[in-house]
Amino acid sequence: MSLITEPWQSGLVARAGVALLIVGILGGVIGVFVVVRGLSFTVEAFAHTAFPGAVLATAAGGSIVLGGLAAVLVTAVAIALAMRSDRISDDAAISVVFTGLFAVGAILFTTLGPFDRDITSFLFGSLLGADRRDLVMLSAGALVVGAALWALRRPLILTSFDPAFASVVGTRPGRVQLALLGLVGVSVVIAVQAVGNMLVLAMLVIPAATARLLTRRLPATFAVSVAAGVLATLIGFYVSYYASAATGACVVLAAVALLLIAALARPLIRRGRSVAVGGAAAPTSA
Amino acid sequence: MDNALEVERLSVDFAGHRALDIVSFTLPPGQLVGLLGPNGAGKSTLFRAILGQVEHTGAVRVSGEIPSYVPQGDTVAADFPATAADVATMGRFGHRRWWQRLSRDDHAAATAALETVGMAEHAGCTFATLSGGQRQRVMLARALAHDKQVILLDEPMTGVDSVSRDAIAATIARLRDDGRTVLMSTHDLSDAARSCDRLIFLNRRIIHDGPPATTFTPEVIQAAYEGAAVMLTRPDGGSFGVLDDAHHHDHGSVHGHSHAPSHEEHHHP
Repeated sequence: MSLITEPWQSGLVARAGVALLIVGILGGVIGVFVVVRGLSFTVEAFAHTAFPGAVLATAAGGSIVLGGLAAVLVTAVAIALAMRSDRISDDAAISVVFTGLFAVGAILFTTLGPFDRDITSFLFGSLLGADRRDLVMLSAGALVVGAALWALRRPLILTSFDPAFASVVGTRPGRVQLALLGLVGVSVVIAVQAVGNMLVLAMLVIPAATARLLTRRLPATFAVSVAAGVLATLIGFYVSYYASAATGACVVLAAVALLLIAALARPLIRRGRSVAVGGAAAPTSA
Repeated sequence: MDNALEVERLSVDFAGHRALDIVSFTLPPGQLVGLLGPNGAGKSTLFRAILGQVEHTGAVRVSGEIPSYVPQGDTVAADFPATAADVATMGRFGHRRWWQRLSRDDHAAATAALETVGMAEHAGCTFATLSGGQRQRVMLARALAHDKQVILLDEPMTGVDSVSRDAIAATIARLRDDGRTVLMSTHDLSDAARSCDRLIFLNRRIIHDGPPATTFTPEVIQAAYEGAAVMLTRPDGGSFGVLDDAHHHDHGSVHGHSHAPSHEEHHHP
């Protein structure tokens, strides 16, 4: 029992564990729409385009997080507009915005610096540096994102499955896409300074991809995605603690291991479904 | 407004190319209308303009709310994690505010819609595992659950097996009998002539609009298809049109998406 509780005795490590768990849950929830709508590259872009906002905010003596948020919201609008164009592909549009804004951040960083605050943690994370205020902000951000996703659940489902029909029932696909990009951007900014951009990308993509392998309906996809995110976080956390290995890398590898296990288990699950009596109508929970 | 749908001097341009040119027609309640024309004639564009999804000039007036719509099957994300029941239930989303849960009536409407199209026994099946015809029937069930006066069907028979074809045709006939107005695009000329009350031949503009008895003629069909269609005569003396593949290979995949009647259809009554 002490092996399980020991890491949580240290406030420093415990706060890191809680931050990881919050990111695991947040990533598991919003990651479903990231994966279903093919926005993984957008997550990576957000993690970098927040940088110029953070640099400008630091230079002006303001909040790094607010600066990053402003930058990703600008990015979200730019990507949403670019995605409406038929003349440039989505991934090319994201590449242009992503690299362009990150380059601006790099130039601002070298010309406006040096800074007395360490803003590189905004890119690479500072898990052991998470304090109570960071945890409150992470929790609040996760709650806001979760509530917004619940409020937007039907438009998100409709536009993910069939944008043409979505507009028939009064949903505006462009606005829904912009709202989702904004929520993904907020998720990235509040998570990246705690866990770093590699872990943010991993936690917003891998658990949801794992869930997609195992589930047939959206509610189950959400449940398995969150469970996979939390499980990967806990496994990575304990392995990191006892093996003295990099925490972020351990969590990512645990998530990848779960995905591989899901991929191997998938044929067995499908076989089980085909044997079971199927076809009963199940009410949707949307 | 006596008509279910009124389209007046509707034109659509895409990057300088005129996709629809001053299209006007009206649809009364309880009419099943076939929309015919070659690929690129503007059939899907006309639907999108009626639904307000593309910029256009002219006027579209719909009795009541916006019509329901069944898009072509290849436009949906078939791998989305949803069962047939989930997809049918999407037709009820517009009936509830965002904070409201779907009611038992909503689920009952979706279940009834699946029964109507003969898909009740597959309600729990994942949409991705269904055949093309079964998916089309589920999308039609979603439109039934949506419960609107006017229903637009964009090539509902394309790529479907004969069982699904019969089920879709029966459902459409039932909708018409219930007083709904159905505008259905199709490449199947002979089937449209048999089942529809009225045919609109479109090729960026309306070539001809009227009952099959007056529109299903070699002149009209060849004018609409710009000579790329031919008329064949059944043994009973009736005639029907087919798309001439040789002409359409230059324009893309008409053959692959069309269900032009084969010679076996000589045996159809």
